[in-house]
Amino acid sequence: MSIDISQFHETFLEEACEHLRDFETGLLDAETTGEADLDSIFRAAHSIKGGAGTFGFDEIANFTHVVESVLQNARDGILTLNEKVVTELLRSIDVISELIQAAKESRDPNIQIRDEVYESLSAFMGGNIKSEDKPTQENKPKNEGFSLFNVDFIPDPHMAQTGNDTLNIIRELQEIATVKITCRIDNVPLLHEMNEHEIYLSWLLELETSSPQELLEEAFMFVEDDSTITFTKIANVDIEKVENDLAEDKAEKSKKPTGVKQNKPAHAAKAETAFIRVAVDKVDALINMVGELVTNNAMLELQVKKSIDIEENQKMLSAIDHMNSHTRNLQESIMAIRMMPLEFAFSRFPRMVRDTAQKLNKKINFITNDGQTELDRTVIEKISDPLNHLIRNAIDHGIESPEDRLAAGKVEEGRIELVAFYRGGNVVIDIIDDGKGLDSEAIFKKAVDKGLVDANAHLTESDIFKFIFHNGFSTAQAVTDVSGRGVGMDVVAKNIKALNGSIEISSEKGQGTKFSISLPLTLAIVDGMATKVGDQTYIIPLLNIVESIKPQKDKIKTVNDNVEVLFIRGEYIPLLRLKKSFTTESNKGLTSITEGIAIIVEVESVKVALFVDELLGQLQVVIKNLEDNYKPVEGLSGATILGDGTVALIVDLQGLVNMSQRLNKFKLKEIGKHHFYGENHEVQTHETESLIPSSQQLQESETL
Amino acid sequence: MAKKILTVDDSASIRQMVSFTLKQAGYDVVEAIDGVQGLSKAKSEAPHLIITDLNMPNMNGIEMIKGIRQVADHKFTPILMLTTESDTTKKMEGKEAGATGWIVKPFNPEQLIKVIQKVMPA
Repeated sequence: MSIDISQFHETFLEEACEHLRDFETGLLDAETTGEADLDSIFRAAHSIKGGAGTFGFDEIANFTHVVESVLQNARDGILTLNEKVVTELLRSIDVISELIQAAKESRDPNIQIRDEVYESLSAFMGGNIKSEDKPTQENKPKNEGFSLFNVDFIPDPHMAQTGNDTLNIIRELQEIATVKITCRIDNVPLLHEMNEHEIYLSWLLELETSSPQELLEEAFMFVEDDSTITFTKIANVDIEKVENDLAEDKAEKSKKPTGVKQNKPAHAAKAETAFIRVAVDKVDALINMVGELVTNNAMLELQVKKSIDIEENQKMLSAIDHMNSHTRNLQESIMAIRMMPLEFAFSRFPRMVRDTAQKLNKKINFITNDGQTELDRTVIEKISDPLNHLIRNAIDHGIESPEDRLAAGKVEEGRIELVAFYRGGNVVIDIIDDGKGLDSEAIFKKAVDKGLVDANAHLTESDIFKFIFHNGFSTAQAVTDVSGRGVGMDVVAKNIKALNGSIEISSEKGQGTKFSISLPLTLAIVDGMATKVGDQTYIIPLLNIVESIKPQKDKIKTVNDNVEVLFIRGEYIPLLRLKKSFTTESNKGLTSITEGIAIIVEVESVKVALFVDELLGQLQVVIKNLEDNYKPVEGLSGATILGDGTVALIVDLQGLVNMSQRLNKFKLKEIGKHHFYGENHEVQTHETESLIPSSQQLQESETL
Repeated sequence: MAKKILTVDDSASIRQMVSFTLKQAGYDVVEAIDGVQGLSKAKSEAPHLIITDLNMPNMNGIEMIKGIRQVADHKFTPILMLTTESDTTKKMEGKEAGATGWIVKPFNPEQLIKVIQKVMPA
């Protein structure tokens, strides 16, 4: 039989990663609660070792063996899991992880750390590691000669109850020897004294064989401990005869395989479990297709409603309704395939918190609650780094040293919570610490120093907090190894923005800080409003739309010569004409303000009115990357294909706002509201130019 | 009719490999992911032979073997445990619980089939 076990490698490596996570969680739990579930920790290591050995990853198996030995000693109470041991065990996770990664990428692993950790682990064992007995290789019959054996076999009376059967043993012997069998029945009791489960027979076996005694004994290997087996060698036969026999034997054996059908492992026969592995690409293709189906439906509905008499075609409309709801269900089910528990992202943090806290001599109680939330795989992958950064910051800047905490009347141990929950169509992730909180005065002062804001400006606390997302903004007293270089927070904000998410800060000095990140469940689809400008269709993200109005001429004013503003309910809102923002070849589109529609959108608490020709309707679109098909275009986040096959462009509102600010060179004295999360900090922060005037300024310019 | 084998292991990769090997060798295969499921499938699926890991969550292999031996139909069913060579104590424990024999880890498909044939000749 030939089986290519490499087909199971991927499964094993994935599984080993899961075991590693359990291992890590177990260790950290053990440390925080003081109660170790050593069984499950041990099992994780044991499983990795067992699988590694089986699938031929000897490096992983050998290293994990030491880890297992240490855990075994801990389980037996010989070794205490003190901080030092736990640290080394945690490092061993890194090593195994590296070995797994190396195996995945078919490269040589980094062996330096491995050797270090190996040594310290060995030291815990007093250098006394039992080397793993390799399973005895199949005993090749030594050319020992031809022998006669007498075997006296008295089975344990209970042997049958372990599923062993004398007949099987004899059959196995018959494969390698000629056997003369004598059955002894002296111990058989009378029928009424007989227990049907017990064995009363014993055997005398006379064997004639060319195989060595060890091979014969192997037939008894499962019963030798309980039964009485006596081997007596009767005679050796001359060697020449043996060699002839062996030659014949060999010839016979070499013939065998030709008769056996060589089964190539068929992939179709792979594992019949409750799970199937599917390439992400395939799921993505499915999501894409179903997304287009949804769009198609929406368009169909739109067209049908436009062109038929609704009263007379109720049946048709209800059919379309049904189709819509089925398609939506289909879409949701397919989206669910991509969803992964947020736990995957969270599970890496306890370790990081422990290590960081240790480095900074802080005491931290880290609590996570993933709320059983699930997010799109891509979102999960991209949110890990920002979270990592925020948690690190919380440890470094948020939580005070134990002495400071005590002095401030707090408990010595700081508390950081990482909590996730669903809110509407979003998942919200909160990072809450009970540390010293943000000092809004210090931040404001720093912002003034950096020229980001006028010293006389009146900003709300939450606006001030947002300065920490600026490039190069750090209020940490000293740059530490962990954080405080001022890089990062801007990247955090940018990454979250790239996920169509948002981040909010609330903080109370001395009490703690809360970062609240809100993320859409998926990146692949957006709810949008289709709008028409000339011969183009633009999609405006529905989430940002506040309202749509038909503007009146006298409500439009122009400030600074080129900036139009819309006056609505006592508020001035900058007006952007999409026709101007995106110049097209045909340059079609309405100019007269009263004929079109103004869509008021809110981007990061700034309101902007977008002027378009008409609204086409609300629909859900699949986002197609422009980079993949064309090139990135500022102000557009992507494109989508509509039901009728035409391409519509999806407006990136923040990008559009940034772009206009730059193009129009509007000097903005008041800073604070408009340029967080911007792509281009240089321009906004240092030149402080903006198209978008603040409402304050507009109030001033009303007299114009 | 092909003989049916129940393989119990919490590790998906081992389970897959055992399962694949057995199917290649012409056996019918039923899988279980821990002792609890193993015990219930031993009852419901009436396998001719059972291969089990020892270290498993929920119910370990030893407990499961004890449970299976309580089932009238499985008094004599061969049960093989997967174990490491160093686990001599485990081996004894397993035998006391009623295991027929063991397969030493790491093992390859050929060794697996060989041990099966030892306790359940074709």
